[in-house]
Amino acid sequence: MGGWVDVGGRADLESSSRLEADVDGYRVRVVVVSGTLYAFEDRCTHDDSPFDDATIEDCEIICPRHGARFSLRDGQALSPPAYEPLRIFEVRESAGRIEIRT
Amino acid sequence: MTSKPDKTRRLTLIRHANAEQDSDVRDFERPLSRKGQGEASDMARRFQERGLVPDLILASAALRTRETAETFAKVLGVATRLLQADDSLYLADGDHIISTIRAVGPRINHLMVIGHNPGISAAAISLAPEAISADLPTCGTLTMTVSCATWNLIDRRCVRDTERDSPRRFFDFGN
Repeated sequence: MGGWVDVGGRADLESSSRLEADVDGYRVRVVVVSGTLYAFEDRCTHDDSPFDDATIEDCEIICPRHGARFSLRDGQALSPPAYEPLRIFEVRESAGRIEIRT
Repeated sequence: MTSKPDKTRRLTLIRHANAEQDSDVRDFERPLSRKGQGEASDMARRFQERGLVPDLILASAALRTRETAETFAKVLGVATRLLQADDSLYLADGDHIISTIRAVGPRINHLMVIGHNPGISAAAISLAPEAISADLPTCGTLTMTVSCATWNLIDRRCVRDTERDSPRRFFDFGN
């Protein structure tokens, strides 16, 4: 409890531009934006579905289905039709491995 | 494709508390009056006593609705990130308010919406005509227990029980 979970290598993240893992029952996605790691639940809070091919702009993820935007920094829902914030996870890199705090 | 089972949820509709009537201030920026601050605190405490704590608060972005929402959030211990101010709820009509409710994700079990008359009352009357037929007074509340798999299915047929309350002890909700 409260530990760090290894979700993959930095190289995997670089090659596929994202990592996905199940952490504590949540499907978590890790991305890099301007050199900073962000980890969040891969689920748009509006329609309860994965982001799939969502685009990321200015540290905001934009759901491709209805245009909901969320801040990757704090999970804040930034535009309708999403109102519930995105669940954000603490993430770090350690010896070339990406880890998420549970 | 199988449909999801119904789930018991709670929806609270609230009209903002009493606001200042200063004509020099733009309507959107009118703050709560002293009386309104008291109304919001009193009503929020009643929710706390009944254990009615929302998972998400949606409020019109106007100052008087935000201040009402912030008072509820503070008294009920709702994190500020679970309070969303929405420009489109400012003076929104009942249909728009219900559309907004239908857009909320399925993990929210108790949703609180704070808006303006006549829209917030129209939404309340549309969903629970047996419970209310008159406009909500300032900081009047209507809490409904609803049974729906997801919020986008909500309509009056989903409403099971209602609880209404008002800072005015003997307010007539019209029913």
